[in-house]
Amino acid sequence: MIKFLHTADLHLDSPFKGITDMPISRLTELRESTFAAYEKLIQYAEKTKPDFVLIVGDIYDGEDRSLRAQMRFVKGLERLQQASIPVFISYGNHDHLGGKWTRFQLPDNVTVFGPEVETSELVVRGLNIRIHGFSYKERHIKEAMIGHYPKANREPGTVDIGMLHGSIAGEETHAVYAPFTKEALIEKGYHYWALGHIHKRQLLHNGPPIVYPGNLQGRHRNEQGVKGFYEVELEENVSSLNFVPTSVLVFDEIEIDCTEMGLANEWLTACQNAATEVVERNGASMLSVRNVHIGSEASQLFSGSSDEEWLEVLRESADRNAWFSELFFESKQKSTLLPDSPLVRSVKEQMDNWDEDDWKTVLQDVYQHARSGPYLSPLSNDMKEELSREAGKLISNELSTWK
Amino acid sequence: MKIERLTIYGFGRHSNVTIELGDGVTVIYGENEAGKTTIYQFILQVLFGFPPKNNALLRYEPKTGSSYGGKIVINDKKYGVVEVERIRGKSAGDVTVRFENGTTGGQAELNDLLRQYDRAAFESVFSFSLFQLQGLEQMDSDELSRTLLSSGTTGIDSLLQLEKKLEKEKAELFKKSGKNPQMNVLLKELRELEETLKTQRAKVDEYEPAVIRLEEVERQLIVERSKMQNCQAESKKLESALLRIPIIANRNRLLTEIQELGQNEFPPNGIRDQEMLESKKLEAEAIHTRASFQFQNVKDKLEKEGQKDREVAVEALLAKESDWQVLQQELVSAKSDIIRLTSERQRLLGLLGASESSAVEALVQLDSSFTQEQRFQELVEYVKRAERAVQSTQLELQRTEELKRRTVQQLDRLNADAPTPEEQAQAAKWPSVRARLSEAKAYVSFARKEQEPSSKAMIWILLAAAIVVAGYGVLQQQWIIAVLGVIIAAVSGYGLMQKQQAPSQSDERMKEMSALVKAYEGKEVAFEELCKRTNDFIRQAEQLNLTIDGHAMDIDSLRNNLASQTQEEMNARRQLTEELLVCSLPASTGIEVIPELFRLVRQLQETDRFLVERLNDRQETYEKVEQHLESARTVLEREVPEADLYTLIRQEARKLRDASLSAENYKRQVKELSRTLEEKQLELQAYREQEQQLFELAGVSDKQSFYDAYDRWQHVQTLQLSLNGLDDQLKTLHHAEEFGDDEGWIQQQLTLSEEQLLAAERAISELTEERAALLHKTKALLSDDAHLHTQQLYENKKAEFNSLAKSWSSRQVAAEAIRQTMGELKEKKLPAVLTRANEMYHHLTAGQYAQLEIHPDGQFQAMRKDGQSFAIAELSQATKEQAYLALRLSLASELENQAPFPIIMDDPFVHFDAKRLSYMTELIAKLASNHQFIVFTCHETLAPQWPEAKIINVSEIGNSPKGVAL
Repeated sequence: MIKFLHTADLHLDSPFKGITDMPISRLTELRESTFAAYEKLIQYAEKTKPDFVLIVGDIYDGEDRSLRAQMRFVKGLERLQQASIPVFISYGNHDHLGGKWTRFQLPDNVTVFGPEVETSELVVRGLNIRIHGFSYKERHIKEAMIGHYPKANREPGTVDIGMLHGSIAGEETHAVYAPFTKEALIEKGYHYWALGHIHKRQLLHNGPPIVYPGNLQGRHRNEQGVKGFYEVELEENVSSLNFVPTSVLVFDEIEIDCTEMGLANEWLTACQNAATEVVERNGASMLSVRNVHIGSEASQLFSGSSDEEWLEVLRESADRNAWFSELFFESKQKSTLLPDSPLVRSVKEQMDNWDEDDWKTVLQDVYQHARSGPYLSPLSNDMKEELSREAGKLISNELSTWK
Repeated sequence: MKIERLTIYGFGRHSNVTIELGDGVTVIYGENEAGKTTIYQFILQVLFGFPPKNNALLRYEPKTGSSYGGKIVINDKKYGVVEVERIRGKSAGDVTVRFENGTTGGQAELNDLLRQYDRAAFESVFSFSLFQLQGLEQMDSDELSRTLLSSGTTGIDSLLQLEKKLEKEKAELFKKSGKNPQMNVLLKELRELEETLKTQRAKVDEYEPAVIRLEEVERQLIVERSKMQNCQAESKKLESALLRIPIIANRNRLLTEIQELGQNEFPPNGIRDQEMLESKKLEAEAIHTRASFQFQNVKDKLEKEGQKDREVAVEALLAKESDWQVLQQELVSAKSDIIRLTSERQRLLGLLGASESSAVEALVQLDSSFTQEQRFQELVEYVKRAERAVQSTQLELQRTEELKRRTVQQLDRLNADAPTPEEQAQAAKWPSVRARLSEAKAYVSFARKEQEPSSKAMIWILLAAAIVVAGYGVLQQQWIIAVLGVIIAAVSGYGLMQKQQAPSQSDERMKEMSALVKAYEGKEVAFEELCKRTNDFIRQAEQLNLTIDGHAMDIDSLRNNLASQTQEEMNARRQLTEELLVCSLPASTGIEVIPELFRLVRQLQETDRFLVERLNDRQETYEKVEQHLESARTVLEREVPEADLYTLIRQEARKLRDASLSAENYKRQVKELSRTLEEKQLELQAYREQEQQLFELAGVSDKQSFYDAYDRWQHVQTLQLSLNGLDDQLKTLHHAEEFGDDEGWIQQQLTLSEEQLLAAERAISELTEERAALLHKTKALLSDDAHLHTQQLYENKKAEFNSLAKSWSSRQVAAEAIRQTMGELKEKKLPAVLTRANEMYHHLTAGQYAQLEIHPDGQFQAMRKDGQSFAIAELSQATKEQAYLALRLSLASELENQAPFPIIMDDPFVHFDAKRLSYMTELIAKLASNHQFIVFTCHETLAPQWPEAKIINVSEIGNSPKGVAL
């Protein structure tokens, strides 16, 4: 039996993204969280003495990597060296080999994969462990690197583990790097596929395990939930996975049932209680609040102030360990009580009929703009829906015949 | 959608009315004021809500008080048969929607049923009256568009305004080539931040070379440091070598000098010891000299003193001083005793009356024993007894004579008081009289029992008192009183007799008796007294005479006794005197002094004895004194007066004692001094020996050479010390031995070394500085918060930019949608409506007018079949209305799919002639297959135009009993 830790996407010292309304000082403070999560990983390794540690890419957050991030990372590796734990690193798109940045000397317990797929071997209690992997030689690897991985020979006493930083072909939510298919992975006959790149923890396949451990610490609202790494135990075709949480700050969403809400206090208390519950479970949390089952009373209550104001009030009353990032109001009865006039409907119907090109055309002033374009996230379907919703709201609010 | 049935609970003038509507066209006919408009309003209000409560006129609340509202049954293609009920409730009323399948709903469902149309939108398309036709002249394509969009004027305007507003907001957010809009500002900031980041990143790139250089510097530093250390060591050695040269020279010189002085020993502390010995020796010698002088002196003094024998003798005398004093005292006391005793003896002799010496001798020899005294005492006793007997007899005699004399006197007095002889006679007679009187009294008293016994008694008492007074007067020889008594007695006696006479009045005896009583009335007591007194006088006189006789006999016997007794006394006295004489005692003395005499004699004899003793004592004392004086004289060797003998002796003794004390003192001194002399002698000896030893140790014979030796020794010591110091110095400099003592060469080497050292130091200082700078730089780079901060700021700005972009985008989308809607309207929907309207118009005008078109200015125009165009205002009223109706109906038809509502018309055809009307009904009948038509009219003529239509006469519906089924 062998035991190892599988982690990826550390994104050490990366700034928090997509947060506009939190004081920068506090954000800077929160930045320590990636280090804290890494520290947890190192401590766990020191304590449990795994046979080795796999780090599948994206240790840093790109070319903006800070010296202190590297320094701390190396210090952590040195501690593993002290504990005689070998470490295998394959760099990913964010920390590819082509980068022209200061490199710190890594301790000699660390094996770094080169730009081509390589196999590194080590012997653990008589078992011959063969670890296959590669590092990104440049930022964009569109090539399906999976083709270069050797097939496992399946000799007894041999364990094959693949390290691959990339995403499934055809998956559109992420930029596609080193695309692969599940079948291609399984076909290699490895005992374990240690993946990286996707920040959401997921188990693509069970036998053999094909695992995205997710990142160590969430960094924006799309990286919700408790984050961590996997502790893996492999034994002749039997594997057990143990998720070890490391995140010190959790992005999460709380749902507030507003059926009976009539007073601001009730709502604030409900939010605080829900937040406290999350904080107690996960530690410090960044929370978006989803208000559901909004009755007429609650609707009236919420119409009293703007969403921004509600958010501000909520933050003012918040505990230091909870930060309320956003408010969502689901099925606001405003729309059902105040029906759109045929006019408004016909306007809204216009948007529904737009195709991809229409959207591009409509938004080209900003999205196609030479200067602003690069700062914007690509126009996803979600985004389009949201924009339609927002635009509809603008029109409805202005033209509602029930005014 | 078709309205099948109206049920009015209470609305305006109608209550409890049910109206079934036709499938296609329904004509509701009624006179003015029949309630047509009420039904029209009922339909609209039930579907779209009651007007606000402040608008009472339009609310049609029933005056009758029946329940407000009603229901409409609708048959809809999509929703089936639906019942819409609206009753009194909140301002717009409470609405309930009931579906075929039994489910119910509220406003939301109603809104769905009405396709989200509100009343205004509904009215603008589906309900028209002639009144509305008036505005046709002003109607333009925009108006038509609005109507088409069922939004009324405000809707489109708001939409257009909104579009403008959105454009404005967009412009505030972003302009393609603007500077001030928020996003443009942010863009600029982002660009700047990127620049900053680039610079900061470039700084980070300096880290690696800095680290490499740092390592290089460290290495160089180590090299330079070792170089510097070597040079320093070399220089030090060379300097040491330089130092060695003079030291070695000095050492050699010292060695020579010591050699010259030669070997030399000197006792340690020699000088000090010698000096100490010297001073001790001098001190001892001084003491010795002084002691021997004193010794001689004291010895001389001692010889002068020495009178021990005399001192002893004087002391012995002194010891006897008390004896001497006793003797002196004895002399004095003997002398005074003798004087006292002699005078006592003289006094006693005087008392005893012995003046002659013979008498004295006799007295002295007298037997003064108690036996003798006893004998005299007995004699004296005897004399006294005789004397007392004589005296008592004399006293008895005198007493008896006195008694006799007194008795005679008594008798004389008695005789003087003696009663007269009559009285004595009367007294003698009285007892018999009394007996008779008492008989008479008893008699009388029986007779007058109660006759004033008291007054009788009073008289008796008075009588008794008179007798007593008289008696007293007689006894006291005061005759007046006696007479007074008699008078009283007489008065009382008279009274008595008066009374005693009274009772005897009854008879004679009585008279007699009473007379008797009366005679003696009051005199009874006097008579009794007199009688008694007489008797007493006689008895006393007899008694006194007897006593006088007794006394006379006593006197005689007593005189005889006295004579014999006097004789006896005389004898006793004589015997006593004789005896006294025998004893040569003064016989003349009375018998009482006998014991005194004996006491005196005894005293005399005793005094005499004492006197003799004292005389003897004195003589003895005198002799002792003389003896004493003699011995004192011998001792003191001179004549001494007896008086201050011991003063002298004491002086002498003191003198001698003092001398003795000093002698003792001197002796002790002599002893001490001789011991001191001996000790000092020994000490001196010891000191001399020690000194000699010191000298021997120093190898010299005398003091001077001792000191010389010391000086030499000391010099050698100093030299040796210097030598040692030099040796030590050389020892510390031993590492420089290798360089020998070529001064010139060494100097040369030294300069060389110094130069090298300086060079190394310079290099080190430069390197150190560089290292510090590098360390600082790397450290600063490692802990560079600025980069982190910028990064975060950049991300935040980016997020902000995205958020603004979203805001912009949503506005852009909304505005674009509005624009497109409006565009589409003009380009697609409006032409379709126009085409349809043209057809209708063509039909309605029976081909007179070919079509309706829109003038470039937006106004409608009608084109005649000959191609001539007319503005709407130029058309005849009916043609105008035809145009309007064509437009409205085509609109409604156009909206059939979205809003399949019934078309409600309020008397729209009044201006039509029969031909036009028939065209119209024809058209409506055609349209009625798709739309329900509800036509309100007050013209009876209209009804027959629609043979298939359902005709309802409002005035007939009334309050039919079957009216409402709730």
